[in-house]
Amino acid sequence: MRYIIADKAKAVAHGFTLHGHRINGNLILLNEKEVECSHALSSAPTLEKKCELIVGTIYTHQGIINELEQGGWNNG
Amino acid sequence: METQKKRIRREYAPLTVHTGLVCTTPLSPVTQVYNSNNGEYEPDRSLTPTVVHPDVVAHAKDGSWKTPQANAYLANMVWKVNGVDITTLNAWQGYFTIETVGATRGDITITKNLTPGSYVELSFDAQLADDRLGVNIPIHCDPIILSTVDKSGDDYSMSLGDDQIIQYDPFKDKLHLYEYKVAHGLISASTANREAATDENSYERTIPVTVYKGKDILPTSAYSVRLFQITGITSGVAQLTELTTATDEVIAITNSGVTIDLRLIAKRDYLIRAYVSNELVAERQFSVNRIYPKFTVRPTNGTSINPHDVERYDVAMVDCDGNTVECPESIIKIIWKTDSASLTNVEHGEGGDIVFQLSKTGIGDTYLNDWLDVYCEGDQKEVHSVATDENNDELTDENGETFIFN
Repeated sequence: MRYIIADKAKAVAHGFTLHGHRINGNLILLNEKEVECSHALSSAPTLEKKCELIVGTIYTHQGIINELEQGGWNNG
Repeated sequence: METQKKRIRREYAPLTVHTGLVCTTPLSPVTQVYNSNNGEYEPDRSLTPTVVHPDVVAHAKDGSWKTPQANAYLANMVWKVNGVDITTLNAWQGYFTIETVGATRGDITITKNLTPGSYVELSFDAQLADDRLGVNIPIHCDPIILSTVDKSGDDYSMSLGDDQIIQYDPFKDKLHLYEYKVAHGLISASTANREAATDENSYERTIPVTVYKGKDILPTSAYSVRLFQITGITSGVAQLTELTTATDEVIAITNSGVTIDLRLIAKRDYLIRAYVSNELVAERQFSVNRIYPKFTVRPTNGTSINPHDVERYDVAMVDCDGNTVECPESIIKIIWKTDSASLTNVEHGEGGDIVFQLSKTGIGDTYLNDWLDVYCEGDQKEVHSVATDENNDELTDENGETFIFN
């Protein structure tokens, strides 16, 4: 499964809640299924296009773990 | 001379409290998948946690409790894993947080990935502070199961075409309403009307089952499906009772899905298993909860009482979620009462409408006492039960259909 670091304000504007998600400043961490299944992002045909709408970057499992090791993320 | 003081208190109706656990992160659900090919959890809870919300809804018949969603008033909250306070378990230290403020007070955020193939039972206890009566009401939410399914790339796996936690809201059940109207002669039975009333909110719920081998969907003839109820967890192992169509709530079990009657379930956990050549190859867990939404009840007859009237008619209007509820007596126990200058809290009967004798109310003939307060108290009815006789034999109609009631 892949993970997405997205802009917090853009994600909230597209229906994601902060509650239950890991946050780092103006960033939010989502999983692939959350983005794929988001009704508000359904106009975009692919995960990559959906991520563009929330200014998100896609990471592999290991990639996101490396990213989180940089610190600054709360525990959700 | 000062007289003796007499303290008189306001009198409040006691609270009726309904509780349940709800996973508020359906895409980081209570069942995880572990992919043993790459050693990854899907999803990984340390990245996207699972949140479970204790849904505590309180209601006073007299309308004196103003906040039905009562989480903000919870005290002495304890989450338990397999019956043990989670804060005392070393294996869980640093893997959970409990929300302490607002409407999400009591929510637990879980960042722990479970060992593949394991199950744990998560439950919640607390007290609800009722400051009207100065009492603490014990709260207990029935447990839900956290589990992790082991799946490798070429292995069998199962997908359920429904929510992992199915919530039954009787107020949204058009099929229940249709059958109530037919049973009371309000409309005629019709297959077309029954089908039109059957939707995703109906009590008759089919959970589609799909079994995969690797990425390929297996034909339904290649496996068999069996349904189990999870009755408890012992040492991380789910205790199971197999269900068949002879079980009250089970309507059908086929290889493409199971159909259950949600009216008969307050809170239960189930496990669907797929077998190939009598060998277990895949399983998925799901839960069913009955929910208790906020509603309001009020009498509607605003006409005056004429001097020679001997009886009075009234109809209850029930609103829920912004909609007027049709045939509310099928979902809510509505008790009609009156207050007058001489008699208060006089009970006249139960139902969606009422005819009562004015002589029973204590209404007077002068300007000071010729008034009447009509009101009704409403409580959502509990789960249905199967009707049985003194020998515990089920009561049926002429077609062999079992009677249920609540």
